Amino acid sequence: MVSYRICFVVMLTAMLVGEAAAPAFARGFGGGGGVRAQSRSSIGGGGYHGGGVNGGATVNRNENFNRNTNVNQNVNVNRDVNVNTNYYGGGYYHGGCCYHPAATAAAVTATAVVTSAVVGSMVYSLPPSCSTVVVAGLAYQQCGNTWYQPQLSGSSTTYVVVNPPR
Amino acid sequence: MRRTDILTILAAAVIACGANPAHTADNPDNDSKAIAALQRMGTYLRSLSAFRVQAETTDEDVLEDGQKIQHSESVDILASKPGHLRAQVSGDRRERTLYYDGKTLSVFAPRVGYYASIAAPPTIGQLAQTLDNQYDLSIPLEDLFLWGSAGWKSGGIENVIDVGPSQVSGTTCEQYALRQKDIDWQIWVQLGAFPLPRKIVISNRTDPERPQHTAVYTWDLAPSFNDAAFSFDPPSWAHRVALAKSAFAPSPTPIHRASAK
Repeated sequence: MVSYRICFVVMLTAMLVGEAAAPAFARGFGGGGGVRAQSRSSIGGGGYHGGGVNGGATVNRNENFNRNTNVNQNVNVNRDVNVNTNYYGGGYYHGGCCYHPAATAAAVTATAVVTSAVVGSMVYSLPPSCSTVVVAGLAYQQCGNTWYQPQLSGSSTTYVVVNPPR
Repeated sequence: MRRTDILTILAAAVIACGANPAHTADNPDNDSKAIAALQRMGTYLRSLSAFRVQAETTDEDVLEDGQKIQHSESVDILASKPGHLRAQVSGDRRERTLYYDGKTLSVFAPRVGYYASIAAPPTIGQLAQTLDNQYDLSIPLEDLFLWGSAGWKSGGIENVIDVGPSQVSGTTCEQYALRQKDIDWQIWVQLGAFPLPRKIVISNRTDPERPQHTAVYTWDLAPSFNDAAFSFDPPSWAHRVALAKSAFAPSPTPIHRASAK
């Protein structure tokens, strides 16, 4: 019961933050695992869609990255919560946007894990109960004692754990 | 056309001929004609002082088991040489508007209520380079701003086929199919005095399923606008955040999931 409630809160948060939520397809859509390749939207440039090359170079950003279908999250120190990410955020399309080039994606965890808010880590979505705080003109998300700096990219929004900005 | 461009074309044509003697043996001039036609398109694009282009695009993701998922977006771009651009991308997964006035680039993501702004170089071409090299963001339909520019490299065209005349939305075009490292691409170039690209298909050959990007362009070469179109005035509910750096730039230290059974 408790876990259902937490799931609900997590899902609700994901829906509220809209495209900031993790991409359902990249995180186990259809049970077949993640996205292994994408189309390239540009011949010679970086490819706004996320797949592309720099200036005609042969670097392929669309490398494989695997994500677990089911994520066991240690939300509370004494309680494991199983979040079925297939339906996280309401399904394929409402799961958000969000490809990241593989080099970054490898460093992105599925969602905020309260017990491991290491400064410098990145997540696709925030834990519940965060508040927006503006410091020196930039917005941060304060979630308990953990501070996240939102980062906008062409295709997604990620959150980087930072030291308290004030 | 600049002399260096001509040399580049000739070099590409020579490479193409060498790489594919069977194809070129039949029509030795066709490859160079096709490349010249593409160069003419690029030169024409760079000659436009202002344009608006709208595009309907599709892209594909390949899942681990090879199943493909397609998604669509609409793109609306207003550009004015040398340093003004507004580009809106709307799809199921994201919505972004880029505002660029030759000094500042702002990216607005209305669904999350965030925007980011950076100091920007003075031309669209330089902006494209800056974004590609430093940030996790590119100008939408970026090729339209790169073709025909001095710095653009096609990455080495290995083969080109002039498919012949083909209709795109009622306009007669010439269809070309090209192969180069990692990608096959096809382009439909309007016939006549306005050699505009009207459609493009890019197949990514790095995966066996060859995920494909398509875009069909609609052009307005005499758009009506004023400078306000390129400056971003953030709504009161939007918050300014950082613009994500490129994956190739130094990234924060990764961590691993705390618990995974």
